[in-house]
Amino acid sequence: MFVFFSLLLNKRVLGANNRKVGVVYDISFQLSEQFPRAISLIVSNGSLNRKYADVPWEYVEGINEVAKLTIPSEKISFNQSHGTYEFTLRRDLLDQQVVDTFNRKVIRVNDVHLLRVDRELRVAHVDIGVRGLVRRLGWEKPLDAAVRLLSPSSPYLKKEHFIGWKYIQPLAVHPVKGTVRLSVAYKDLAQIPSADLGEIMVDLGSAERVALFKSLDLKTQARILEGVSLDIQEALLEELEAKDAVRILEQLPPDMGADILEKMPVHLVQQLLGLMETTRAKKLSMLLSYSSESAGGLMTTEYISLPHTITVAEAISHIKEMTLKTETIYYAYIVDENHKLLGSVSLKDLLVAQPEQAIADVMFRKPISVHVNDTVRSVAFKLDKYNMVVIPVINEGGILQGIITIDDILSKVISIAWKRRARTPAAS
Amino acid sequence: MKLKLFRRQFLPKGAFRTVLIFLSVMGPGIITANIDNDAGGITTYSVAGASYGYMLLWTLIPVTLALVVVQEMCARMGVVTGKGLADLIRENYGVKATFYIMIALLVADFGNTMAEFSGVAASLEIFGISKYISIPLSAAFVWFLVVKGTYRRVEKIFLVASMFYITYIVSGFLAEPDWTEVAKMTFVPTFQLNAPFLVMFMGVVGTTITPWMQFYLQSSVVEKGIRVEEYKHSRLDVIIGGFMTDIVAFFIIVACAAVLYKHQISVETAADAALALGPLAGKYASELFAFGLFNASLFSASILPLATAYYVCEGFGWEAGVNKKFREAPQFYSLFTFLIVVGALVVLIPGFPLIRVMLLTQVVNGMILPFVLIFMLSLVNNKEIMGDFVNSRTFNIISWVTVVTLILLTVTMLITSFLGH
Repeated sequence: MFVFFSLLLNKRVLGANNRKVGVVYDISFQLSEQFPRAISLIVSNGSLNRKYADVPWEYVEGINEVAKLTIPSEKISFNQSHGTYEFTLRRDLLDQQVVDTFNRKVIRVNDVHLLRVDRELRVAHVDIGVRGLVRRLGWEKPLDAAVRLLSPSSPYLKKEHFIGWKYIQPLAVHPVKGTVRLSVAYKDLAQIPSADLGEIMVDLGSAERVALFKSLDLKTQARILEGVSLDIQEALLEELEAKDAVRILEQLPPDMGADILEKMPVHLVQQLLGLMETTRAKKLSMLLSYSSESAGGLMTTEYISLPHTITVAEAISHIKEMTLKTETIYYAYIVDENHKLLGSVSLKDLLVAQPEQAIADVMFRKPISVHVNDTVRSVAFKLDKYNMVVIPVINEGGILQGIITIDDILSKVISIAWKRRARTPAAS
Repeated sequence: MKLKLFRRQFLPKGAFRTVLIFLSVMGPGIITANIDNDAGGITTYSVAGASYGYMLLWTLIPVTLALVVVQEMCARMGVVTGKGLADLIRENYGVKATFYIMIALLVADFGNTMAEFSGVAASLEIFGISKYISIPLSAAFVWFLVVKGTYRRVEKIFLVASMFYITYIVSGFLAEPDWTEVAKMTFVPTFQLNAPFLVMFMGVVGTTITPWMQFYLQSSVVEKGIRVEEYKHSRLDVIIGGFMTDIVAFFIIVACAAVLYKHQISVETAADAALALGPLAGKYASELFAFGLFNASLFSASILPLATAYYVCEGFGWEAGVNKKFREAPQFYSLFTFLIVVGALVVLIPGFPLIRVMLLTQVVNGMILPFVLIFMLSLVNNKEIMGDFVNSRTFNIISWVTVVTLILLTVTMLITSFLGH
């Protein structure tokens, strides 16, 4: 049987001897189970000099119009402050912001829908609807009666707005220390696309934002940084230790990492690059040396290059090994000993070719490419003119430097055409 | 080692750098303070000047202090928590308190919005533009400006609009007041113990410190993403805003006192004052005064409905913001549009009892101000929320004195306005 938390609040608490102990103040829950179970009832007594008592849930016989305990009232001792709890409904859920991982947004909790089975009490849903608000204000019965009188079929009477507990990510944050009070991992957040996670971060208060960010794993942190605007990126990175920042930067694709580094003061960039593994640091510092409005600033260094001497079969197995690391596997670039661009080959070309054929016979010679100093505009025109989704970038000597994919160009073009970022989860 | 990488860090060193940081965080304080000098405010100051001459000038000094003290706490809460005032009240005092404050604010702001549109109508009629043209056009302008513009661009437009308040300073000089008299009355308090004077006195205080400003200021500080490190610049923004408000108020009172009080002309509205200035202080003084009123009314009509819709939705947990689509934030857009459309239409109804509505608005404002101020003080002193940024002891004494005085004044005003009507 279901019951709303707001209706339990301030209900009388009676001891086994039917004497009044106090009123229901709060209920603390064990979060580790899928539907958290009540572990203690917090009873308050007095109004001006309010005192609190903690009653373990096994002593609660039932809770409805009154809360009945199985121990006599004398056995309950009151304290000035209430104990330390992992998670309580009044403090951590009611009226607070939580993340709805199903609809991918931040919501505010109007009421909590609890499931009562025998003597157990579990959290089932949170209520974010108008009915929940009205119930909290104490107008549910009169308003229902009025609506029923005027329009008996009104959708208001039946329309509850519940979100199942499994989609709720509470954010019980210690506001000053900025640490998350919960021991549960924020695992469901990993399923949310980074752009939506970015919007969620923007909607949170600053303490919640930082605490939530710190509690996430490196990969998710990196994905969030990809999705948020510059201001938020800075605010989040600022909270990190340098070595953690480095680890996140290593998770990001190099072009994204370079975009973030580009906005930092030079001495800090040097320091961060110094902490990084050498190959990654080299790539990043090369990317940083190009203007962000040039092909060099836009390109990524994660691409597949193949020596010109191998066979198709070897090329395919090489691509398989690289799959996890690169942005695109549909195109590979054939280079000589000096890394000079000789040709390009698509995955399709490789799949239809005979495995023992030499790669040099299959590849497209002298592929269309752009120069590192070419403008964004000329890169966009070239991609369009030749109907390409990815284009190699070379330097003066024809040495392959990186690739530019169509999605990188698209966001640039959108920002020029519509004067805004493709996704700005920013100010209203 | 923590990273220190925010953009504003690698601005040039020295004094110039401080200026640059200030420019990047300024806005919320100055804008909030200027919306405060809206149609209702200008009316109150004009009437104060016309009826009591320079007698009320001294009140502007304590009022400025109170305004800065109150606004500073809001800005600080916004910077430290990253949350709006409605959010904080909801999280710490529950839904009931939030709900009744929001409903009262909604009523008061709705009344204010009507006053702004009537200010637009009255000021443009001085320039010969019919209200049946000016009202629909300005309502449409306000709606599109906010819905179709980005906040940052709108903020720039508002900062420019703030500059137009200088017209009042110019009309103050054009009125050729007796400056020695002005200086004396500014620094030497004078008081009359009769009901009309008291009502006027409280009117000046009440129109300067209003409940909705606190919500608006805090939300816009949050929206701007000002960091704790930049807080001292944000505080400067609030202080400058407070002074700007009262300097403008000062010159309005001076202009009306120098001309209207001297010739014993009594006025009831700001537009009356503008018209009456014409034959005595010259066409320019009158037109500048009217233009100032138009600018202030339109400016406030742009912000008030938006701010109201924003913090009401914030308090109830509904999505809000002009970057969202109607489908995503239906309550926000409905509320915003309702306030503008109905607020504008009402002004066009012949014989609408606007003065009475204004009085009601003032009463509602007076009723919620004590609650808002007390909530603010207890929030700003809560270590769990503010950490090291709670009020210092000295500041607490100043702010409690301010708040208690304000509460006493508003309660007295409520009682007198009930007795008077």
